This record gives sequence, structure tokens and C-alpha cells, in this order.
Amino acid sequence: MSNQLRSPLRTAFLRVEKVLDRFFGPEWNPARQLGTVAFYFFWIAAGTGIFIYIFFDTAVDGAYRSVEYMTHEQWYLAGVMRSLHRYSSDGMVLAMALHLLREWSFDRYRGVRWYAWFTGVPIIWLLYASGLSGYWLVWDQLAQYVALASMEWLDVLGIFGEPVATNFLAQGSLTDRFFTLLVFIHIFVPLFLLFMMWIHVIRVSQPRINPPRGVAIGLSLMLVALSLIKPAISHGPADLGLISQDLNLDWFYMLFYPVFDAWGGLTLWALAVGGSVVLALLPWLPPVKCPKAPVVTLDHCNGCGRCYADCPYGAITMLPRSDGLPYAQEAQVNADNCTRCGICVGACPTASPFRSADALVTGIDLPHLNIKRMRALVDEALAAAPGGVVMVGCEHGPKADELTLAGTASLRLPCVSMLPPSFIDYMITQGAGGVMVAGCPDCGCRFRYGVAWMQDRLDGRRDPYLRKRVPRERVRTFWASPIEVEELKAATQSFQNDLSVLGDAVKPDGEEAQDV
Amino acid sequence: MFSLLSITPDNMVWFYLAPILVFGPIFIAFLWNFGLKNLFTTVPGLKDQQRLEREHNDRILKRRESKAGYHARTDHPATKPSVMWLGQGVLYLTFAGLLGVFSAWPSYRYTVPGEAQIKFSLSHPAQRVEACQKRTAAELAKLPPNMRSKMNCSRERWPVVVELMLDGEVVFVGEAKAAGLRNDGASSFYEKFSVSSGAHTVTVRMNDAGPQSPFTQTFTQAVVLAPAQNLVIGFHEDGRGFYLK
Repeated sequence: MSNQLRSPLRTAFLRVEKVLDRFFGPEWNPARQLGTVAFYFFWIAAGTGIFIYIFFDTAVDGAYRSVEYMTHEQWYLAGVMRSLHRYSSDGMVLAMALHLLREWSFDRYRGVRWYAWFTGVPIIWLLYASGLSGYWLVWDQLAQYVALASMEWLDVLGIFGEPVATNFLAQGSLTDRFFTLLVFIHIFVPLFLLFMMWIHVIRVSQPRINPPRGVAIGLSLMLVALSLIKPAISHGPADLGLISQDLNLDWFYMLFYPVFDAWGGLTLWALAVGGSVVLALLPWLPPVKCPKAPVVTLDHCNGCGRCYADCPYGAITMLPRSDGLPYAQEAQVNADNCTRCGICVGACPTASPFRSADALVTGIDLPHLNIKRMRALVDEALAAAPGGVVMVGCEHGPKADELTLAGTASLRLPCVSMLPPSFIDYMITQGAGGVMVAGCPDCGCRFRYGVAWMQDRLDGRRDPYLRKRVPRERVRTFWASPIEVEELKAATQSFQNDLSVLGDAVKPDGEEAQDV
Repeated sequence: MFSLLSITPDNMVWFYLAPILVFGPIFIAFLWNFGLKNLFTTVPGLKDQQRLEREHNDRILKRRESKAGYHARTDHPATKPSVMWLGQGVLYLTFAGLLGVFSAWPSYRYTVPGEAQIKFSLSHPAQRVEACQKRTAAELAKLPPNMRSKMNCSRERWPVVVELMLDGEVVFVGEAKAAGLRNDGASSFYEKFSVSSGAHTVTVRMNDAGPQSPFTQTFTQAVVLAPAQNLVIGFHEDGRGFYLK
């Protein structure tokens, strides 16, 4: 049921990303960088906020005047900074909302990913508290409306002895101290937001926090241009003797205020708290079913640490050796952090198929798909398409095993990076005409670094490398989203054509490969 | 919903507390087993891990030059640079458009044109349920020295009942309990009403001396409200009674 809900949105995201890939390339595609875009907007808001604070007067009478000075008198610097502050804050809400929808539609919130999802919920509250407290500081008619409505909303809880909204009753109710308190809130809530953003990514290894340079430049130029073309301006000064009437709400932050006016505070509390609780519980509605976590076999583990270095989720810990073998360390798997992608298996130097079936044991292996089983799948594929193309696909990229192309056979792994490069060597040696590795798009890997690690291993940039003796013209990679099946088909046919030109450079019995 | 569940101001607190007390521990236990415990567990061998990572990265860097060179990658068809720049521009323009437009549009009208607002705000401690009594010398002697207060006062106060009339028509009747666990604090009201602008007569009556008592405070005043005016009805605790501002 939940998959049926997610599927249309996921397809929409994939289509947009595919189009944007053409213009930006995968690495600079902002749609694949939404989390880092939100982080970047935070830094812009923080930097510009420090600048604005220099000119801001923390007094009832001075607050509005100082903001007006920045906007009109010093429009070229402080005014632009104010606009950047406003638009980057809005951009953060937009990026966060898209990031949340994308992760949900791609089913990247259940299982071990629950932690990032769960800690993301308070981030939403903190972001809204940060933004709205900033709007108060301008102390214009919009600030008056937001301040009063927020206080009335809090008063619905009945937790204050005296309604806090009475602080905004009439002109003269507020003091300069109040604005000092507001500034304090507007500094410390964003700091706490930053702390929660750190907590949000703390469990992933090598988290991406900053966007690629191209995206950062693009976003910066966009914000500066917007600030110059449509500078942020204030409403008229606040006057508690009058009701704020026509308001240009910032809908990114103030979407819920008309709901409060129309349906009352209790309904809004029910929506806000109920929505947050449901959102926080989504990873378990329903929980994802995971196979068993990888198992370390110490007799075959030399403590090299490649599995530890490659694990995208920090699920592997290197501990001092416990079995007396003459190695410094041993790997240990933390099942709570493990996504069962198998990247650790692909990184293990002992995961080699060039052994007898009985000896096929690796240092680290997936119980439900160990390398013995993997080699059996490879052997089946080789037998199904002798001299043809063996296609190694993953569960989240284009489905290689659903292609019905003559002269091809395929196997599907949780992630292509689970395939140790020695298996490609094995396939060519055993007579495969070529090997096509087809996984998720560049920078769009389901398991974050699966595609990057696999490409690096093939290109000789990362251990374990594909051996030099493997003819590279017989190995191809194709990184694409699940909707790009036709493109995969075309790429495979093109690969087959290229292989046919090579002719019998590699004989089915693998003589050529063995001779290298 | 409240009437269906028979929730009153007296048991309102349980409406909030009961789900937390019942489901809170279950929820926390649930989260704990799903990995919250990892937050409180220190990672063993962290320094070793970091050293290992450094060594591994160094090894990769050393080999990168010697091993790199041959790319097996199949790239997508290249897009012309001019089309790429144009596409990027269109995306950033769309993003900027979204930010620029929805940060201040469409406008929202909070009140109907020509209407004014009356805010009724009151925070007032009612009279005590039991009147204070002067202690006799004998009673004082029985008390510890630090508790020999001359007056013996109960803490509980009556709820405050308020009635607000506009042009002779009742627009609000409310009762507020005294704040505090022992009902010994002030009773508070904060209500707002939209009214048409123009001339009105405002009447406020308050009873802070228990259900058997007649209204203890009455206030009537004619006002002329301008459109969008915010008229506050407050109460001076120094004996001057209700006021309009």
C-alpha cells in the first residue's frame, strides 16, 4: 500500500532528475543534492544574519527603524543581506520539504535509515521556530500578526498561569528587554537547529554536507539576483492599537496561520503534533523486512579495514584482534546500522571466486547471498549465454534481468558494489564475451557510494582493483535510474556490437585472458 | 469532541497527560530497541578506526596515479554546453521564481474591511473561599515561632465569572478557575471579538466572590470604534476597576 503511494512520486522525481542530469550532469544536479542545498541555505542565512545583526537595533522603537534603514538607505549591502537572509531561509524550507518527499518516495526512511528520518522531524519544528522568530524582529504589521497569533496558539495549551498574548495587548505593553530576548531566541534556536542537523547525519559515514562547487555558485548567484530584483521589504510599522489587515504572508513559514484563524488553536495543535508523530513513526508503518546482517569469519579476515572504509553507513567497526591470529584488527558488524547492501563483501580481498566451491568463504559475507551462492549465479548466467554478455544489475537501478536480449544473461545483487572485481575477471576467464555492470545513477546510488566505489575499483582508484589482465573493452558500466530500461537496452546492444567487432579476441575458453 | 469524551476544564489536564503516561514509556522502549541505545553507546576503538581510515586514504592516494587511466564507464550522450547553461539557468530561474513569489504572495486579509476588534483581557485574583480569621494569642502560641502569622487564611479562591455585553446584547459569558494546583492564583481571560466599526455601548460585569454573590464589578461605557481599531478592555487591580484602551 505504502509503495503504491510512493511509486508515482518516485517516478516523478526520477523523471525530473533525468532531465536535470542532461543540464547539470549527475554531480551538479541540485535535485540529487537537496540535503546539501538545505545545509547551504542555512550557512547563507547564518552568515547574512551576523551581518544584519550589526545594524539591528534591539529596541521597540528602533527595531523597525533599523530594518528600514538597511532596506532603503543601505539597500546595496545591508538590504541585499536582508534579502539573502529572507530568501535563503525560504529556500531552506523548500529544499527541506523536497528532501523529505524524495527520501520518502525512494523508501529511504525505513530500516536503519529510521534514525535520520526520526531526527529530521524536530528539525522541521526548529526551522519554523528559527524563521518565525526572525519575522518578529522586524516589528512591522506582519510581525505583530505573527507574534499575536503565535502567542494565542501557545495559550491554547493552558500551560501558562496568565495568557502570554496579554504581553501584546496595546501600545506600550512591550519593552526593549523583550527585543533583547527575541534576538537571543533568534540566535540560539538556529544554533540548536544546527546541532540537530549534525545529529541528523551523525550515523552516516562520510556525510555530504556541502553541495558541489557548481551548485553552490549557482544557488548563490540565484539568491543575489533575486535579492536585487525583488528585495525583501517590510509592512508598515507595528501598531498594537490597530489590527493587521492585508498581509503579505511568507507562505513558506506562515502556511499554518490562516488555519489557526479559521479552525482555532486546538485543531492546529492536533494537526501539528499529530502530523509530527505520524511523520516520526513512518519508518515503522510498516517496518522494513531485512535479511540477516553480514557475518565476519575471523579465519578469513586479515583486518585490512577495506570493508570498514567502504561501508557507507558506518556499520563496521575495527576492533583489536580477539582470536590470536597475527593481525592487528578484526571487523565487527553493527547490525543496527547495516543496510545489507553487501558493499563490504565487494570490498573484501578474500572474496575471490578462483577457488574450489568448498573453499568459498570470505572474511565478511551476507548469509542470504554468500559468495558461494554468488558464484553459482554467475555460473548459471555463463551457462545461459555462452560467450555473451553477463549483466550484473542491482535492485534499485534499471532491472537488467528484465531485459530480453539475445546473447545476454543477468544476475541481480542488492548493490552492484557487492560484486568483487575478481568476479568480473572470473566471468571473462570463464568465457563471457563481456560484462555489463548496470546500477543506480551517478550520485544517486541507493546505498550512497555503491556506484562510486564500483567505478573506482574498475578504474583502479580503489581497493580491491580489477586486475590489469582483464581486457577493459569487455567491461562496461551503465549508471541509470530504474526508468531508463530502454537506454540500458540500447547501451547493451551497442556493447554487443562493439564486442562483435572484437570477434574472437577472447575465445570462449578464456585462453586470451589467461595469456595476459 | 470534548463533549463526547466528557472533558471539562477540571479534567482537561488528564486529556493531555494520559496518552503521554500510557504511550510514552512504550514509545521510548520501542525507540530504544530500534537503535536509540546506539546514541548512548561509545564506539570502541575509535582512534584505531580513524588511524586505519587515514592509512587507507593515503594508500589510495599513492596508487591513484599509477593505476588510474583506463575508464570503462559508459557516459550518457553529451549535451551541448550552450544547452546545459540554458537548462541550468531555467532551473535556477524557476527556483528563484518560487521563492520570490510565495515569500509574499498571495496576500492574506485577516479581517473584513470596516470591522474593528475588541480584546477582553483580565488577570485577577478572586476573593478567598473562606474569609481570613484573626488568630487568638492561644492559637498563635501553639504554632512554631516561624509560622506565627496573625491572620489565618485559606488559599483557595473563587472562580471569576465575567459577562461582556455589546449594545445590551451578551457576547461573552465565561468562568475562569483560579490558577495553581491549590486554586490560589489569579483567574485569567483573553478573548477577542470582531465587531462592526461605529458607535457601541460596552458593558462588563464581573463576580469574584462566589456563586451566591451578585456581580461585584460593573462597567459601562459608550465607544466609537474606527475601522481596524483594536479596543482593549482591561482591569486595574488598584481599585480603579475596568478600563478601555
